[in-house]
Formats: sequence, structure tokens, C-alpha cells
Amino acid sequence: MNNEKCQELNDEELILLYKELDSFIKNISEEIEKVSDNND
Amino acid sequence: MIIMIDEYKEKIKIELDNLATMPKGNAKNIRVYREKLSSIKNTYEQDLKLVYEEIKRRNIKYKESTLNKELDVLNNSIIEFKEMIPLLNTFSSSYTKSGLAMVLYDLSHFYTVKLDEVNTDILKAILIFKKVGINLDEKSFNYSYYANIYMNKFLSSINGNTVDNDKLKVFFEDIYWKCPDLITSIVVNFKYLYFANKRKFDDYYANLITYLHDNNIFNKYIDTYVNRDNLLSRDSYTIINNFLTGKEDINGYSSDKINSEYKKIFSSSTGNNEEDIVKLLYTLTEYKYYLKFKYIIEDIKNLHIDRVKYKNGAVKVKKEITKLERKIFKLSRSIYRIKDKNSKFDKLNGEVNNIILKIRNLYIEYDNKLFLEDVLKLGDNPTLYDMLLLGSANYDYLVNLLKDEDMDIDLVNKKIDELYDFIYYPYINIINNMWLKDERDIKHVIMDRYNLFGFDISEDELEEGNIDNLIKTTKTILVYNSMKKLGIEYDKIKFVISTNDIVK
Repeated sequence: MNNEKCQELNDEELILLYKELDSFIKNISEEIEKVSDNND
Repeated sequence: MIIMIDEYKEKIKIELDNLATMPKGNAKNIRVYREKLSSIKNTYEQDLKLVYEEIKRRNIKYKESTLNKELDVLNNSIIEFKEMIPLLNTFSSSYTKSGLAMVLYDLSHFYTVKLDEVNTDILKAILIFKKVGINLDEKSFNYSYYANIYMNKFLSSINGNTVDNDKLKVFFEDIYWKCPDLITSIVVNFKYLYFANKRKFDDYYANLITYLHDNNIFNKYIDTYVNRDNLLSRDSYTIINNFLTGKEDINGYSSDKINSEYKKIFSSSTGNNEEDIVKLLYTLTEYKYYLKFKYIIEDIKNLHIDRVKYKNGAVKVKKEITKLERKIFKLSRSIYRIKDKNSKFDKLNGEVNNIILKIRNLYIEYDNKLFLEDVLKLGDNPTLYDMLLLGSANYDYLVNLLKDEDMDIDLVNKKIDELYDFIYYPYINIINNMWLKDERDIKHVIMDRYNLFGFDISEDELEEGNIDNLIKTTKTILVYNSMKKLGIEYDKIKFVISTNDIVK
């Protein structure tokens, strides 16, 4: 991903991609927390 | 570009599949697994940041507009003009114009307010007299012994435009028990003072009116109002902000919704003149106001039937008041001569109080008779506008008509302000062209006028319960037209609203 590609997305796609990435990162973060807790 | 989204979805799926197959059985595996998670997180966070920055850039760009500062200037001027315009009402007496009518009405209903508010009203009344060049002093309040004592104390407690309420409180309580009609005495005394100085009041407001006429204030007010409205209709900032603050719902501006709004008021989709739609909005607004205040017109219409009986009705009452006032002043002089407050002192004070109550009722009757004489002055066939103008000019009449049982004075005043908004609405075009004896139904007048120009307005849509919907439709179409002219796009506003939570 780079700036240019980002700018090529239309408004709707941009929001969709944001939501997709945001949700994925939240899941990964939760998983990191879970793994860290178990390891402690 | 939707391909890019799908690619991401696929990439994420692969990442998740890979993560699922990673061994997590021992500490070493877990450490590797955690490192992998962190690495994925970092990679995607960078992408998210790019997407976020792009969203932020567009969000700012799409809502970019600046408030037209001229609008503030015009709005402030309208507020200033609105203070002056009612002075031009030819039916309004200097008693109403000065604000004394409102203050004394408030005072005569003192039992609903606190002592602090009573004192504030008394001070307001004193300042109203001062404004027209009359400085009231202890000799002015000679209606009753106790009113005189209280007002002397009051006058000595005034400091600039304030009064020392704490100092007066103990004093008031002491006097109140000796003279429960104290406030009534003061109110009636103020009324006497007004009529005794009526010429000064009249001259002051006549000069002010001359100034307003000379400076063309009414026309300036109309011009400012119209300018403000024109500016508002082409102000991007206002339109965008109304959507962003939720004052307007952007969902009502999709093509489908707009098409259906058009169909509600037009018989065909062609030849719809913008100017006619604006005129329709003005007419509907006027009609809505008319329906709201129709009962004032109806009341005056009823009073108008017996108008010939009202001739010279007030003079007789005024003579009676003057006679009783003379009696009061005579009794008061006797009271002041009594050195010891004996039974004669109490008897004379009781007599004075009884007369004051009679005078209070006579002043109410006098106001009423003066109002009825104004009804007579309307002539045989006044316009509906003139009838409203008369109704708005007499504060006591208006309050008694507008007041519901549970309504406090603030609510009544709010309603009166709304009535003034109507009377001084610059686009009035119907009620000033319809007369008391007019047989025409306003609904039909509106339908006939607009349906001739390609509109399709039904009688049902003009019913009191439906008029707001019709106004909303008209406004929506006008805002939509402005958006088109100003290049404000539905999709872009939707984007800003959807992303405001992301970029906040």
C-alpha cells in the first residue's frame, strides 16, 4: 500500500478498507494480549 | 478498485490461516507466535495509517467552507431593527411602546413572583419614566401612606441601575403585614403617574418615530432581512454545517428522495421556476403563522361587530378614576396630619385601600375601553393584517388572550415575540390583501395561485396538521437546488458524516 493507491480508492472503498484493517488489527491486538496473559 | 479491498480480505484470510497453523505448545512456540502477531500488526498498522490520513484529508476537504461574516452582521442588525419596528405600530400607545404596560402587568401579578422580581419591576418602571425625562421622587408616590413609605425607602436604595434588595427585604415584610395591598397601590400609583405625564411619554415616542421614519428604518429592516435570506441560501458553510450538526438529515437528499419530494408539490417535472418555489415557501410560512394566530383575528372580528357602541367609552371611565384619585389625595393628606397612629389612622388607610382597589379595576376597564375604541378606529372593513397589528399593540389584551391556564409570563412573552416575528415577516402578501369581510378561503387563494404555475398543492396538504410537511418539502427542494449550484455533493457530505467518528 502507498499514498497513490490510497488516493485511487473512492470514498466508499476507502471507508470499507479502513474498517477491514481496523477490525483486523483489533483482533490481532486482542490475540497478542491473550498470548501475553497466558505466558505470564 | 474494489479489487484492492478483496485482495486485502484475501491477504488477511491467509495471515489468519497461517497463524492458526502455527504451533503454540511450548514457551518457545508461543514467543515465535507472538513475534509473528506483532510483525503482522506493525505491517497493517502502517497501511491503516495511510488509509486514515487519506480519510482525514478528504474529510477536511469536503467540509471546507468558511462562515460568511456578513451573515453575523446582518443577523445582529435584524435584532436591532426588531427592537425598533414595533414602535412604528400606529395602534400602539406610548404606554405599550415604553414597556410600561409589560412591567406593570408583571407587577400586578406579583403573587406569582418573588420580592426580588417585584423590586426589579419597580426599578424598571422608574427607569422607563427616567428615559422619557421624568425623574420620580418621594412626592410622586402619594397614593397611599404605606406605598409612599416603601417607595421612599426604595428610591434611597437605588444605586445606578440596581437596587439593594437585602436592605428592602426586611422593610417590605414589615410594611406588607400592615398593608397587604401594597403592590397594588404602587401599580395603580404608577398608572396614575403615566397618565399624569402622558404628554411627555407621547412626545418622546413621537420624536423617536420621526427619527425612525426619517432614517427609513422599516425599509432598511426589510432590505436587511431579504439580504440575509439571499445570502443564507447560497452560503455553503451554513448548508454543510446544518448537515453536520444534524439540523438537516442528509439522507433526505438522495436522488430518490428528492424526486419524491418534487412529485409531492409539482404536477410535472418540467418548468419549475426556482423563484416560484421560494415564493411558495414564503406563502406557506405566512399561512402557518396565520393559522397559529388566527384566533386573535377571530376575536377582534367578534369585537368589531359592536364597534359603534365603543365610541367615547373610555372618557367616562377616566372621569370616574380622576374623581376617585382626588378623593385619595385628600384622604392621604389627612393621614399625614395624624401624628399618633390611632384608630382614625387605620380607618383612613382602610378607606384609601378600598378606593385603590376600585381604581385598579377602573384602570383595567379604562384600558379595555381604549382598546375597543381602537377597534372602532379600524373602520368598516380592515385588512386581516391591521387586525393583527391592533391585537399586538395592546399588551394586556394580548396576554389575556394568549394566556392558557398553566402558562407563565415568560411563555406568554415568547408567544408574543413569535407574533411579532409574524407581523414583521417581510414576505407577507396574503393577510395584507384580505379584508375582514372577505369571503375567500385563504387555502383556496393559495392553491389557485400556485397550481396555475405548475404546482400540485391539495387542500389537505394545507390543513393545519400537514402544513409543516409541505414547508419541509419546499425547503428541502430549495436546499437541494442551492447544493447543486454550490457544488455540494450528497455523497461527499455522507462521507464526512460517516468518517467524523474516525477522524475525531
